[in-house]
Amino acid sequence: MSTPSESPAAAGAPPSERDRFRSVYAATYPDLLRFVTRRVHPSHAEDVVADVFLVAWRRVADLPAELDNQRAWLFGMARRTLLNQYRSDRRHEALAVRIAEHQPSSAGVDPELIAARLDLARVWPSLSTADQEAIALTAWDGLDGPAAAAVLGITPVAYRLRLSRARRSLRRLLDLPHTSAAHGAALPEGNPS
Amino acid sequence: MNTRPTDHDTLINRALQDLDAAPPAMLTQQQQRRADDTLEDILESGATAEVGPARGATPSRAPRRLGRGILLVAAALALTLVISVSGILGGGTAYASWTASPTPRPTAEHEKMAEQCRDYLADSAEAGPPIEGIPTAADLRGSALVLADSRGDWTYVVLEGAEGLEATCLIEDGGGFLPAPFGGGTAAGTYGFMTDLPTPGPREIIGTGLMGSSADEGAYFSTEGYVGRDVAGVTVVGMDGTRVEATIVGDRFAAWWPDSEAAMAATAPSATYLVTLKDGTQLPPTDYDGIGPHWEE
Repeated sequence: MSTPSESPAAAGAPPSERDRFRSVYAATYPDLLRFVTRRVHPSHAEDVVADVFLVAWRRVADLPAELDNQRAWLFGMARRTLLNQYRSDRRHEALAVRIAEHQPSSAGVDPELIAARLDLARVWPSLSTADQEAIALTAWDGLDGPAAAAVLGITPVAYRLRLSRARRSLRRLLDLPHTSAAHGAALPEGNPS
Repeated sequence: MNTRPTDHDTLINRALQDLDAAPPAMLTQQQQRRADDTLEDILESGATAEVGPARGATPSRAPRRLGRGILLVAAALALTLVISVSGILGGGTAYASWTASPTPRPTAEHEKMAEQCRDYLADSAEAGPPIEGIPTAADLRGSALVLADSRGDWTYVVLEGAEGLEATCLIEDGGGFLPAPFGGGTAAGTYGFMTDLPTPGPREIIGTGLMGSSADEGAYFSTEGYVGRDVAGVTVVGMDGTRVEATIVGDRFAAWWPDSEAAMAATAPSATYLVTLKDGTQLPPTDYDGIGPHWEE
């Protein structure tokens, strides 16, 4: 006798959809948890992730086929779930992204890198939330340009411009020389194709 | 210090990786157990998976309504699309032609801009995967022009559509949208669903949006909403004291004005609204919270 969780009829979905959802859940849960943890207190993150997957289950037919697109789809849903928590202040446009509260070990680390960590931790809260989001999506969430754009609900071109602006802001705060796009290498680009 | 910029960037990239608040790691046993429990809870929750229609088909209306509840904030904040070519071409003039009073334009010009706005936003909507509660390209293409607020070479377009859809664009004359023109022009836009359609009293105004945005031309603020039938005029005062005579068409108003990038980035947008009634009465000044829709919690 099958348990309720094994009964497709009980959930109103064919076995293939349940299996597919289980597979997507297993593949994306850790990344989604990390995505949310960067944006809310860790004690709250698992609840948000559960809310997101509940909606994802209702919309399992809409889940993209590729893993990268699934992650972007879920990240976008999580972002909107979190923004909704600001409904009393409907003017929020972007989510603040947390930076590590503690410096990692400095044993044997290049002093310049240690200084860069300290500088970055110091100026990060001064970045606008939109700039934090733009940088974090590629630097920490590991998305390429089109996927990051999908999370924000904007075009890849718009994301590239937003990321460029965020990089300029970060450089300004760090008091670094400006690097134009023509000079090539720059702060986290991800793959904003 | 003689470090090349790329060295700085490399260093900062490494620092970023080191300061990830949620670095890559396996789930702990407890986390994995809770994740497994959550999965079973979801599958047993009674929440029914939508089986079809296939992606690309006309979306169901039922989840859209559910989504509108989720996206109370969407009309005011979601989906800011900033596209600019002016900066690529050498920098803008910070809306030098902007005027405090609206610039009259033929209706046909505004309709053309509305069409540009629709096309651009619809193309943007098609660029990513469909997301619950976010307007689809079809929703946007079905929207209608509510009003257009022209000031100098720039026009702020407000569109509306089914189920509380509201969309806006700021468009430059003779410009357009990337990638086609490359001949100048900046455009920015937003779209989202409003949960409840505002119904202001005769002597009231209700705001549906107040937003700071940024393009290479410069930062700007915009606001729009509904006016009661006894309202003759709305003047919006920006954070830097800029006074803007809003455009009113029917029961809607809208206005936009340039401001500094710092003002846009540093604070939540705010503005003061001065309302004049048809009998000459001036209502007490109020901020956006004073005219905002009453969201249901």
